[in-house]
Amino acid sequence: MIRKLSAVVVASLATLVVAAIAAPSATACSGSAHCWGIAVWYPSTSYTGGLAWLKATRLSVSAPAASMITNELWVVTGDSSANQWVEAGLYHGSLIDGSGNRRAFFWAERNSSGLYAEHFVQNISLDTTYYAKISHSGSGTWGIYLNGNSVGGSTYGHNTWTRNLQTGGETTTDNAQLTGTSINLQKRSIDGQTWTYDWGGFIQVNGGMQAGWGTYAKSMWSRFN
Amino acid sequence: MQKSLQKLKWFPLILMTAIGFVAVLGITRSAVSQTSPSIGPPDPTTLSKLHEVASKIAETYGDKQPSNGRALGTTRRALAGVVGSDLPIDDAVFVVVMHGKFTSSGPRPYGTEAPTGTVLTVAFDPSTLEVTDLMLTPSEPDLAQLGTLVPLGP
Repeated sequence: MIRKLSAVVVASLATLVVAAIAAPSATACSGSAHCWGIAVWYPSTSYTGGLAWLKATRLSVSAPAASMITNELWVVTGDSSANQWVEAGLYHGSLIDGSGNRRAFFWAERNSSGLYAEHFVQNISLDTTYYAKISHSGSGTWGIYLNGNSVGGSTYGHNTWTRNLQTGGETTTDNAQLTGTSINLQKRSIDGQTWTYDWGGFIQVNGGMQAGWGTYAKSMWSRFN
Repeated sequence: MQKSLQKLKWFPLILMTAIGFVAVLGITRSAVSQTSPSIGPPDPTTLSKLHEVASKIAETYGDKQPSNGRALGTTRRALAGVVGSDLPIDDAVFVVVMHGKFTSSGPRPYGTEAPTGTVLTVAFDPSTLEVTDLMLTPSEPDLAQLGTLVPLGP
């Protein structure tokens, strides 16, 4: 009996050791386990828009046909589920092409009906500032702006206010490079007109992502590798 | 009375100016619409290339064997309009729609779940076959209103 029990324990330990060696690092970034280096702000009052000036001096992935990296702005429009949002920013990686030479400004959304959509607007350059704005434009739709010009409008199926605002970097691979900044962070009040500077919130990082405030609530940086 | 007659004297001129303005506006709008025409369905060679690229995208989205792949030609704005979003870009695109079990690996906010869906719709620049737009939905958008869908092939 004891011998049988010992054998089971030894076998279990061996399985655990093998599993530990075979298992990918808990901090690896992948398509199913994204890594973020971001500022996250859950405001105590309702806002109807977010704005950030985005710049990247490095923004690339080694395998652009199968992975991606961004430096961007998110407006989470869902309530308790948080699973609705509109986002916009600088992008390099999968779905644009397989050559790895193209970077683009994009916007995306997920609405309450389960639609997820990505739209690539125009090519971008490194070391250039892009002014991204996402604001409620009526009846649960949100407008997306690049350098003050409209580049799209979301579907219906969003709340009329933000649950949280986020900005910074995101990737799906460890083989990526990012040095990015988000500055002049602003939010729009519930009156739908008044924009004011500064967010609040905290820095969130996982995987190999790094991030920090440049000046608290006004500007932040994110970096990967 | 004389003043009224003087005003009437200018009426034909104002009328002609208005007609001219409307005509110019019409021509301009016509020219704009001609710069962003929709396109017909892709030819067999392009269909084959679209099939290859779309299959890779489906694999990235978690399904190596998508089914019921079909394609058509339209514009980006028209495609966005089918699902109720607005895109002020009206370039021509080829659109591929596929059915399967998909999970997005695209960008999303921290604290959210990866979007899933059973229909993946992807738009491609017709000259480079670069992806311009992508939609993941729980059911197929009404693409038939945009044109005739042709099978991607086996």
